[in-house]
Amino acid sequence: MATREAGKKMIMLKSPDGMEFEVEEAVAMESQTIRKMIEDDCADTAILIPNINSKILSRVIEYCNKHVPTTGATGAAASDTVAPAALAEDLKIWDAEFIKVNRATRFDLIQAASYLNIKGLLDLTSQTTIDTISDNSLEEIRSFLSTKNDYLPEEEQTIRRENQWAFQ
Amino acid sequence: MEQRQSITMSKLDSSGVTVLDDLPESIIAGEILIRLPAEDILRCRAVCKLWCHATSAHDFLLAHHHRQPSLLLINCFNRDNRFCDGHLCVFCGDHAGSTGRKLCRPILWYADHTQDVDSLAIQAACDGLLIVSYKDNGRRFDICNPTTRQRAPLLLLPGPRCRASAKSIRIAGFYQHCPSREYRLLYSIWTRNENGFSFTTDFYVLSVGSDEPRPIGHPPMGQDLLDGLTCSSNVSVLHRGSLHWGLERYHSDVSKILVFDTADETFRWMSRPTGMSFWTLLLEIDSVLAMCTSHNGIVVDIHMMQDYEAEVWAFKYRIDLSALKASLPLDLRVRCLRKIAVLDKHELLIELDAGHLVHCDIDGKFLGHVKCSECEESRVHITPYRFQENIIPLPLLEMQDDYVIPEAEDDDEIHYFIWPYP
Repeated sequence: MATREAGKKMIMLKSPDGMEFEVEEAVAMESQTIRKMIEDDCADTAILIPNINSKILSRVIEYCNKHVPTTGATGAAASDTVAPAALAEDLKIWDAEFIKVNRATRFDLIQAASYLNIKGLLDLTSQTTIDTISDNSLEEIRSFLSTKNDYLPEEEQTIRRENQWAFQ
Repeated sequence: MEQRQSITMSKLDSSGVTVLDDLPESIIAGEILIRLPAEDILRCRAVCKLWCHATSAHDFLLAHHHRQPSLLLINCFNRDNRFCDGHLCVFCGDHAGSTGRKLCRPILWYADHTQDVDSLAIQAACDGLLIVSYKDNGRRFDICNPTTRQRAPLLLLPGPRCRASAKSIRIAGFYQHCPSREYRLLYSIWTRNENGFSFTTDFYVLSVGSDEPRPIGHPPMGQDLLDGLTCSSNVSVLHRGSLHWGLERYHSDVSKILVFDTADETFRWMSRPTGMSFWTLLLEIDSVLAMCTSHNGIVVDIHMMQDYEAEVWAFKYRIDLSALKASLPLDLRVRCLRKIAVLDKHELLIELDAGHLVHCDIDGKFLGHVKCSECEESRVHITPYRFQENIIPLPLLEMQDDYVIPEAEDDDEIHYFIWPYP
């Protein structure tokens, strides 16, 4: 089984723009999608990660490198439940730095985290967008997220009326 | 290989700038919008058509409901401050996280309540829906979804003859009928007999949204025990698709638990742990049925179900309230235990006499006092109900454009308001 030697074994990840990244298997397995490929023995050679360019993939690997459990456990346990409080605090500070990227990169990271199924990275990357939606008016949300309003004015009024209290 | 099949994405070249609209709907809805609180979901439907479509799908709403924590409901009272005077709140704990929610978040405001806890209006709760009764009218009930701020009257009396003779209605249980996904109420109608002092009790099931209650078989027990099937005094525990009632308080000879299977809607008996004292309480702890008992109101023993099918129980935990003496000014000469509620796997809230509410773990280790963050001077009482936010549309509630008081036969007023009251 490929999983037995996790921590030592290396895996090659390839981005569609031709870059190759050699990472420890345990790091790659932070992604549930890659974990499944490895466990199903579909990862004998390099793994092509479709549609995630090298710039984003390298950031994702950087994240996984930081978050891989240090105890050497290869179980499904999330790193922050294993880590003592100080380590968790350190990770939080690191995450805050990591997510200081422009909006486009953040959306690319969300998309990559979703495809690769990395829960921690999804939580981290989507939170800013969640806060944007929670804290702003409709016009601000559209403007901050570059989302087009495709409602006719009367259609928008109808939607607003349905849950009027939510807009107060 | 199969796993490497390409996924649909809008951009490959790194020169393009990704905007939110470029993400597939499955990511916008399934990874981002689903994390929003209920109120923001309803509001964000006005941003654009895609968001409205994505957040209105049944699967999305069901997934959103399942993501919400199941929180304990508590009652907070305060005589001094009008706006804290009688609230039903969800207890969010002190680890409310980044949402900025307070320890207690009000969801209903009781208008003109007395401080008599038993007269309060909540009769049952299931999946974020509440059954609310009118204090002065034992025959009038509402279903209410505080999250969507909707409510509708329920018609529980079958036929006009019954309407004239029925004395009271008592809710026994509220559940989702799995095969049909309908929310249903199990309740009894009490009619005074001609002799003037005894009652006839009939049991019915009503699907929420229907106005035709359906009679069902009588529970296998005598009239003297039927009081135990009244939600306001002895709330059933919904566990593994069945409602469970401990009935010891109503008759000391009863040594079994009554079970109502919500799928086939039949009653049966189940054995309880041995060696139960006068005071008992059924709970669900970490998805396991638990029975608490205490002979003196100070030491509580908790028995857990080991094997549900074989009805095997085992003694698991002991909480000795006298050990909390260092943290609490307890008078152990009198009974001090009133109620117990489950916070999560290993943590409980215990309500003591004299208004103390204590947070402790299942082994009785003191974790803290509980006070309502909304109002310093408040008294806080545990309810047996839980609340899990739910914005799945319910046809009956969708039809209520403007809430009107049903059967305006006297000058009863609506006696509760969905928070925040405008």
